Amino acid sequence: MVGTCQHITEKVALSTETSAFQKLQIGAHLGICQACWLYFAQLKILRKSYRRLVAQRLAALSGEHVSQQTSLLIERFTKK
Amino acid sequence: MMGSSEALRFASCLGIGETDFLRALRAQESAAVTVVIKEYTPVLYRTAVGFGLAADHADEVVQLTWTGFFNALPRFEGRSQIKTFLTAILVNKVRELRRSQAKTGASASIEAVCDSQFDAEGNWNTRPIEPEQFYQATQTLNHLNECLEDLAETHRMALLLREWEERPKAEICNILAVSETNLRVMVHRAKTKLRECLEEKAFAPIGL
Repeated sequence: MVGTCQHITEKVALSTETSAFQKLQIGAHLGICQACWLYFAQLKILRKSYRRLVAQRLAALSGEHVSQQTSLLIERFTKK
Repeated sequence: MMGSSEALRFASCLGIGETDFLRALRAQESAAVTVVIKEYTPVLYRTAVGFGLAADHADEVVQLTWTGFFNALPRFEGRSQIKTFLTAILVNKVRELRRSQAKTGASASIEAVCDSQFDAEGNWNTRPIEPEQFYQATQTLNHLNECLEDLAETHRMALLLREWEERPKAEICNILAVSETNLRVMVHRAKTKLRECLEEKAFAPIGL
């Protein structure tokens, strides 16, 4: 069956030409093609991995360092 | 007048009214400065590091942000939250730092990335890989780290503020000076570029 994959048309049309996505094969589920299903499944995984990466970066910054810098900033910006 | 719940909270902590709080902050009085810096310095560090800055650069940018904040405070009319105002200054400082490092995100060829996904008939050129394989590829986070570096600066900022910090769309639009539609496009493009980059890095044929 050939037609418009509604899911990808809605999402990707944000950044590129809608006409490029008019002939995608409709999959058996959810009215989207299999490739688009894989695409959006990947984006969900990416979101989780991205959040884990940022958490890892933040963990590398010690609370003690931030606390020391905070004290220095208060000292610097308070008018005597 | 500030008129924000944030200002009320700070004023209440100090046992004064909102107007007095703003006056004390502008005068850089100890109590007002202390409460604001203590509240927001960790937030600024978190955001700076989230943008991809190393610890020493985060130190520099956070200091510059506070300098910018106190310099601009006489002109601050309270139409936005202090947190939003600070984040907007931080974003500008990060951009200045990146420019000085000549990393302006010029490599972000997202249009080419989107175009290359489909053939002239609108069909996928290459099917996305299976989610299980993709999941494995993201696990070490090294590839993801590298791919984030290739994003346009503003796209990376939009992604962090939306996906990690979960700030309201209106606030992010204010910080980045973009419309809500533009923000949606920027976050979508950032995710698409990351996905493409990960597929490419993790599954490039050996020898290429």
